[in-house]
Amino acid sequence: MLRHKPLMGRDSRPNLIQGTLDMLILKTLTRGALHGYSIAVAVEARSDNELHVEEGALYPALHRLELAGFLKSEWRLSETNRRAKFYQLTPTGRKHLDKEAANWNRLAAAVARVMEAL
Amino acid sequence: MSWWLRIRRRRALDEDIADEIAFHRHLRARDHAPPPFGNETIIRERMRELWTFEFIETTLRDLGLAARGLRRNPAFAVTIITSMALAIGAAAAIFTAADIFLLRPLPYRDPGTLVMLFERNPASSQSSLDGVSPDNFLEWRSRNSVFEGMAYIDDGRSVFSDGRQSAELHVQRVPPEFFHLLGVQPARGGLASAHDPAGAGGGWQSQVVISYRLWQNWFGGAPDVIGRSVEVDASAHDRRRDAARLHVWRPGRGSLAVHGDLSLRATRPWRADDASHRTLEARRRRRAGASANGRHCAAASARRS
Repeated sequence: MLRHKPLMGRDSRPNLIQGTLDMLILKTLTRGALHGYSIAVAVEARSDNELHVEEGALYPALHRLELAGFLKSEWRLSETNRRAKFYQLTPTGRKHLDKEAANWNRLAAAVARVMEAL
Repeated sequence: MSWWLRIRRRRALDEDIADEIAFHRHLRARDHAPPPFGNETIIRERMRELWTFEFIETTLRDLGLAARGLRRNPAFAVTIITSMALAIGAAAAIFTAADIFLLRPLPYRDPGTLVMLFERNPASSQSSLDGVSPDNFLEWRSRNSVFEGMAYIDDGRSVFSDGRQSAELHVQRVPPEFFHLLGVQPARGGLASAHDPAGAGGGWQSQVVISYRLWQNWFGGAPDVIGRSVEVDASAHDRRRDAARLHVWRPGRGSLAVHGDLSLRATRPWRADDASHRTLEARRRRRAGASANGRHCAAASARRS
């Protein structure tokens, strides 16, 4: 598990680009149902701790995605034997993720090409 | 999830959100991470609003869109609003008329035995129903063998004055049999009988029945209006002050339906020597036994007993 060192002042890690958090959540959930905390931990771990998921952004995003029908939720017992809300990808969510991922890849490649050219 | 379910579930949703955040804190504490959530209340509110206010926002957006659309095209808006107003008004008016004329029985005794009599001129190409001339009415009444009784309404306008103010009102003059045939009585005041000579009580001819509305509008609903003196048609030709006793007529079940400012004036019965060519409408009540309808006979005989 990751441990965050207390930082002086603001977090120096880059903020998530608006809209990419939804995509990251959906992508993380392709491996199976997870609760909010493990989603945050997974995103941070897979980004080598480069990305930090703000809890204040994570939970509203999860609820928004659930309202949009991309996720469905279920209360289950967690690994610590406490009741936790697990989120799971719906078929609609998977389709949405594919579309978003394709967009993102195009955008990232375009930005990279521009940056290399200069 | 539908929005009303969301509202009903609001309390449960609050608990769910609190539980979810508490669980997150619990795991962070286990992993020795610093406490998250800068302002937990704000986050909880944001999440709650996500669920509960979504439908309000959607509705408001729809309303706003409609309002902007109407404002952008005022002619269209006026057309739509006018059409709807007219349609609603017409439907209400039609139903009111249908209710009074078709659904409710006439508010008189045995309304099924009441008939309205008209004159018709066979020489005329128009088959219109005309009022009855006084001479004809008197002739019909003297030869009557099929009706229980006949009365007429002499319709017109008269100047009504209580000494302080005057106004021209719709007045109908009726003979003594009128109230008996309809089987109605004024809501306030008692009519003098037709045989009462014009004396102390003023007699039949000096009585005026006013509508409920006139009682309210003119006399302010004064309880002591009964027996007050008023003038009806105190014209230049007739200087004689025609004092009349007032009676109030209340519309509704069991009473005569007097509309508007109409007042009913009891009048001297028509006589054969009246040199008048005014038209009048005659009302007759079918005499018991003369009707071909058995139901009418039963009703009439029941009334007689």
